[in-house]
Amino acid sequence: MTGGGALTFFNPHEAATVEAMAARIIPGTPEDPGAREAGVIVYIDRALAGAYRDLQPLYRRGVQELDARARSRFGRPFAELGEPEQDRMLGELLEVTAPTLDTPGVDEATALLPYFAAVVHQHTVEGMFGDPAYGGNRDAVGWKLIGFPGARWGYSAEQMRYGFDARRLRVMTLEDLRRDRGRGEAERGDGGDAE
Amino acid sequence: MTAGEARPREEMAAMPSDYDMVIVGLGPAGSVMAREMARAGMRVLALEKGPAYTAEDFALKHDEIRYHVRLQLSPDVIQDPITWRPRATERARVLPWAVGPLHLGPLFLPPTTGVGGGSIHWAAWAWRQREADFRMRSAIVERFGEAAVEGTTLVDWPITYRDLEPYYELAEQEIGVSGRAGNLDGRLQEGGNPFEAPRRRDYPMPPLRPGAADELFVRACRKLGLHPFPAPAAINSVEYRGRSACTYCGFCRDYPCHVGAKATTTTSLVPEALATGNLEIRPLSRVFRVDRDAQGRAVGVSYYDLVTRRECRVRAEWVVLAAYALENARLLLLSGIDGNGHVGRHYMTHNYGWFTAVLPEATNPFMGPAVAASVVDDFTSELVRDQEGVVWGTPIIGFTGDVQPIEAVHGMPPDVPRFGQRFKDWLRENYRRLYSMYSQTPTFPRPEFFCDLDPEVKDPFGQPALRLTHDWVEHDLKGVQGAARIKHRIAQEMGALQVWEAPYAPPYHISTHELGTHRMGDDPRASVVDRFGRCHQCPNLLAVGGGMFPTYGSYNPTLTIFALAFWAADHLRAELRLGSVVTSR
Repeated sequence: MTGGGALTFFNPHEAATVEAMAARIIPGTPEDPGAREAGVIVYIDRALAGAYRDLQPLYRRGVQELDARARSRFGRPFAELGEPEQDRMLGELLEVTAPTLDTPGVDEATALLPYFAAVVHQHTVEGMFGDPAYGGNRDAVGWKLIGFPGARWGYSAEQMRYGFDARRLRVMTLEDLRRDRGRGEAERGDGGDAE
Repeated sequence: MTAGEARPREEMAAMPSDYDMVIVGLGPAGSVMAREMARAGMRVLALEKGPAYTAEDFALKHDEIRYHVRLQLSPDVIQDPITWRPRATERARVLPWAVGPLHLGPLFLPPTTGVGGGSIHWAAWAWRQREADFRMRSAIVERFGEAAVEGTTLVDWPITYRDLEPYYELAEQEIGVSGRAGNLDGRLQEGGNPFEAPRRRDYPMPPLRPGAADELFVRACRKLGLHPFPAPAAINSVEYRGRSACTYCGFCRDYPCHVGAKATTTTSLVPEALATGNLEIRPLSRVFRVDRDAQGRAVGVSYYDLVTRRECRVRAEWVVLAAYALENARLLLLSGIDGNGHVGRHYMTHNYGWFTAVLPEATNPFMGPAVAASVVDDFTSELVRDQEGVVWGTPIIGFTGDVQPIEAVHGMPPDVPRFGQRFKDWLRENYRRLYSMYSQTPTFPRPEFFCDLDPEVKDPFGQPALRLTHDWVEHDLKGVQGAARIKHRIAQEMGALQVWEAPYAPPYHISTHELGTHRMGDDPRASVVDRFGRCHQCPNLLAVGGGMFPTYGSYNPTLTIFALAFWAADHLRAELRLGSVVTSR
């Protein structure tokens, strides 16, 4: 874990495992943040404690089976593998089109890990590119990565020209919008830009 | 006794009605009925399964997790199940593309529940159908012969474009549509759609400001000899009737509007209906049956109060079902009204043809609404070129805005790795430069594709779920493929660096564009409702909305749904001598 951090659903080992997966899905460094630096694990942990509570069993069993496969192939749990081994395992799982587990004719034993990996991929993307209010996308690093200025009140004609560099705009979040409510347009977070 | 209390069925028949009319569902069709009948002096009760949203609910809606990922506005298909199977020999299960963490998004669920319904989340393409869309069977047979309609239940509409034209105009004026006329009473207008059916009046507002890449699309199309024009949009390009103009925030399709610029009935028809003092709205009220007397006349409806979970009944002289094509079919079937076996038959939907490109410069696809873009109608409906087996064409629709990051990841090209440095770098380089086009190939009604009640799956109140039996057929796939050839040429002309397409046979079978489940027609043996939405089998029951469509063109259906509701309400008002809006003008 990057500096630990409180957990609301995962145990520390599960958090380390899921974070290791997320960090290979969107790799990063302190200078060029990825899923780990964005706090994607905070997003997933909070989501599982609340909105995605029904997926707790999938994550529990998914981590166990991922570890079992990592141990049988490389002698160590997933989180302790080197990045090349982690990439090999993830690559194999993500190249399969994951069927849902209740698809008729699907063997759960072979479907579970590809499905789990696809779900972690989806949740990593959510935690990287969703609003920081949900615990991930710390300091909007996901949005800055791809040039998305976030939750803005609107855009001007000048900004909507072909080739406009939106990285010039201030990145705004839901928190900024709530703070802006009731202010005049000029005082709003994007007031200066939109003119 | 108060209106909401349950009473035994025998006793009910003798009771006076609580309301003149009860309307089930306050989406586009229900909101029109509510306003028109309340204005005519009827005492109207509207029962709505979802919440009664207000502007405050939408003030901070810029949230892809809430609306796109967690489906805040959509019905929950676990709580409110719909099942699907590709063919009648298989067992159906709850919509596999719509449940679980890998669901495809709100576009592949039934539309929003709550006051406003589908007009909350819609992208607001506001199309009139073409004249030929009203006589689809004849148009196909005249050109391609009878063999082209074999295996379908295609018919002509009982009404023509000319019948509906005044109601299209009324709908455009009442909800507010931005656009540029292409054909005013037969006179072609510069910059409009030269193929549009003649209109008596221009749009009430000029077109929206187009998204960044639109100028490239327009130039490319003109070079190819096509005729681009701004898509008609039910979004204010300027202030209209006290509602703000669009701010181009880019959280529009699948999102509520935070300034009231999008035509959502919560900002127009519903408050206007409430202002009469004749409309009462009961939100969180889930209707499960139309109650009828021994003679088969509707006497009211039964519903569950979703807060107390109590079963309630209400009596009314008139009942209007306006709960979407799918739920309308379920309610008719649950009430024992099968329209001679036609309820749930003639199911139709759209096969979207998604096409995405990376352009050389920044398009910023998160700015502005998707609908703020140009379209070509050169191949739409009967204008389709002779292509192997494709008999009904589609517009090619520019799609410049509303692309949030998570949805963009879902739409990435299939040859880019899904993880690692190349995944990250692709998004870094290309998200800002995405440009999309799409098309809408309509399906034809076919006897093997239909909705009925699921024999096994029940909702939490013990009522059978709706079961959909549908698969894509060759025409549906070829329609997308034919449109893709045109998109490739446009994209090439636009200088696209990379292009890719979604599969021609998509994994979904509902698209928020479901129609035909209570087809209208003059012949009671061959249709469920008459041309004014009245059930042949139960004349004081109306079923309005997309379910009425006898056939489906390739335009988004909502403006036609609004127009048909104005048409139905106006004729009911005329019949009840409450004053017709259109015929008295």
